[in-house]
Amino acid sequence: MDNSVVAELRDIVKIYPDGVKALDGVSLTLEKGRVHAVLGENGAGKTTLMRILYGEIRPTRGEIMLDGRPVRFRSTVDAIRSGIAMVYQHPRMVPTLTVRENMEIYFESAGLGEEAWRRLEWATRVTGFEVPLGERAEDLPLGVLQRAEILRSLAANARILILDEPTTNLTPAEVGGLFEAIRRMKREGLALAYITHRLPEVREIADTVTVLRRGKVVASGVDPRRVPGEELARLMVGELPRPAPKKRHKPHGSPVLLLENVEAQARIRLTISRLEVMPGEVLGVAGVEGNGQDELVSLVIGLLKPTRGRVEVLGGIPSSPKDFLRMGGAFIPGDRGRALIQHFSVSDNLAFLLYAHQGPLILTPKSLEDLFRRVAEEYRVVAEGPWVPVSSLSGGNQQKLLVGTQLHLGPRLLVAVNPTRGLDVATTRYVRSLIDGLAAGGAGVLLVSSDLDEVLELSDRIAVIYKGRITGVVSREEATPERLGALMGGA
Amino acid sequence: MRLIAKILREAALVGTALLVGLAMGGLVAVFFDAPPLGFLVDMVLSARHLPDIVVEYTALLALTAAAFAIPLHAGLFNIGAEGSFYAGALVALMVGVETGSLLLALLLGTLAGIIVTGVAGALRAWLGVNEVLSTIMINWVMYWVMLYLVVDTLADPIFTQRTVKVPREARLPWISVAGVDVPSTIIISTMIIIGVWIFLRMTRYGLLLRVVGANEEAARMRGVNVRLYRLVSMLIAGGLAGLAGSLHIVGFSYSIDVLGGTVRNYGFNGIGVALMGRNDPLGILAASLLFSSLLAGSQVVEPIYKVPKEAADLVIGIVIILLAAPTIFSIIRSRLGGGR
Repeated sequence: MDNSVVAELRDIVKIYPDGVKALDGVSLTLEKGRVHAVLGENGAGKTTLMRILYGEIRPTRGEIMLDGRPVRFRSTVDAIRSGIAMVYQHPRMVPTLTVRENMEIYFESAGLGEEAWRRLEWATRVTGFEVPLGERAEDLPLGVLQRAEILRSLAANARILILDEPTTNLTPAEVGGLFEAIRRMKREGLALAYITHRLPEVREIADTVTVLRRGKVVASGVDPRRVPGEELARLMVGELPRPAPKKRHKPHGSPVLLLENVEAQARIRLTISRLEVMPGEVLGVAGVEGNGQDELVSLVIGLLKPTRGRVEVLGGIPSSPKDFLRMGGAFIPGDRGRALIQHFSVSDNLAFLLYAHQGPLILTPKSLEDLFRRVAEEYRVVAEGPWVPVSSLSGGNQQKLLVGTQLHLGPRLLVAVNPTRGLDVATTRYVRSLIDGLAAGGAGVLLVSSDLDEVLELSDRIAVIYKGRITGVVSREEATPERLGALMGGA
Repeated sequence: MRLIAKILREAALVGTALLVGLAMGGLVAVFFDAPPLGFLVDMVLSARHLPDIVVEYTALLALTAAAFAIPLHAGLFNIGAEGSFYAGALVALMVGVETGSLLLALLLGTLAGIIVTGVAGALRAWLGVNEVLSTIMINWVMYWVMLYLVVDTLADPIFTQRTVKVPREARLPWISVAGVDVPSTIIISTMIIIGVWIFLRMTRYGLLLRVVGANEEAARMRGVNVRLYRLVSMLIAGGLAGLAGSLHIVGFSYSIDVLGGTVRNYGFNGIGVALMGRNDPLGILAASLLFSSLLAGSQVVEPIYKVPKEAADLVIGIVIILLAAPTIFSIIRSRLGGGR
């Protein structure tokens, strides 16, 4: 056996209690000094596989080998003590504690004391990362927290570092810094697993690629520099028709949404001199998360009052989300987990999402079933029936339920936040076609998304938000990923 | 299919809990040298000996249980049914004695209950005062107000151990149903509980009230007035507990004893009933009947088997804990897990 192999996953099968087969016989090896990319769509099983290696999930079948010996982790603490670390897409730090306190907790669970703090200096040298140890986690941008997590992993003697979609929350400049650090960690002999669905990153940073699709390995041992990008994309996505070229909408009439000289304060301060959405237009709002998107959306739907200026929706000024919805607005929040009532039935959720602002007094089981038949059928929601809990639906079907109800309202202004996050390609395409169709029918859409591709695909104009300000509004023709990236980073 | 499976699972759960609880009750009986089977039969089927008491308890506990269940659906822990029950009983007694009007006694007794728990609801809605603390304090205030009035102004000059009785014209008559005389209290109570079930399960306002309790943020994002719904849930709860107290007076005891013993614990026992009934109105009806049977049963078995009442209460406690445990766990889980 090649002694550069540090970890090996053999024939891993994971079947969830609800019968979903997340992984089906997946094998993968991690080697010293190499970056192994795990490429796949959302829901392909990448993160599940790595959480198994990290001891967070137990496999239904299969073996994990460390240095040639089989291991069985009871928890992540076991994995951490064996030299495995995982940095998640969303930082896992206690928000109210400082970075130093968070590190201390981590070191303690790894059974380390002073030596970890000494190694932290070494880790800082290797990666070139500087993080403010004394600041509270909740006050720091996601990118900084990610760097802190990488540092603490190295300080806690990690030999294997798993990075889960690490560029999701980073500006282009930060991505460069991350890649530089990855190269240096390689030279120090770390084995890295790099989970992603972004092809350019794979081509730039990975030494070898395993492609997962629907829980199965469709290709392994792929050298990303020798295989063309289209081939990798085909492996990842499977065969799919190309999206139809987008028709241009023709904006006309008076704006359905108008913000003028608005100032507002929530988690961060929002200052917008002018922003408008015309009927028949999709206005995309691009930006790294946490730059004022939440505040902007809260303002528009009437949840947050501006301290100055005016927010006009369809000619009126909404004083609450109820007003906003009654005026002809609709709202797809970014986190369906927070918008749906998971343990309520599909029908109850439908009735809630459609009727919270106004609706019939009496909701008989019969009327709810009819509602389910109509909305579920129209928007292709696959559910066992109207009375199963929403939690039994897949993420894609939950999202179709959410989007479907909002379109069913027949809105003249739709506010959509990350409407396709976590969805597979087919569902993503379907949801985007619904939004596109709504705009084509004359409604205005405010699309707030951290997915640049989505913004570029759907929008007629793109506003970039950075630190609570609109740093630029560009038309689709002028928009390039580079230009938007620069605006998103505040350049 | 899923629904049937769910019902079967629930039935199996309740059945097992009941069996285990009764088996442990049997052990208690053996400990006191009573025949376990006969002891348990008399305990559970106490209605054979004390039918009136079981029916009355069932009627009143169903209402106080609903007074706990409805605020819980809206996300509040209402411990105040006890205080509203006192207020309802007290006001119904005073109004009944003064005016001789049954309707006025019931209406004003209910209103008194609404006001008492409503105070806690308003404190919560506008000042964010924790409803558990405020309702517990209000319970004590109402207890002492009641005892003071009972002893000081309402005591019967001849039978000094109790208050004067409401006059005959202000008492609730029994109704003949299919040839059997039944107290009206159980009919009123059952109809109200079914009404509560329809409200919670089949009306828009009931749905939104449940959403407020299940996912406050989702409710807020859709413009649901969370405060208002919570306040209303407390007002309804106060009304139900106040009505229960009034019914107790005009339909059952007609007076209050100077120690307050005859009006005590209906509110608190309602919490156990609600938890046993999975916080669902129809479950509450069933749980209320079981709880009332056991409560009456503990009085039955004492003279028959020479088992101390405390031992019989122990059996009740075991059954409640086993039956209520799933509800309690799901409440804790939803509080900790943020509903996900």
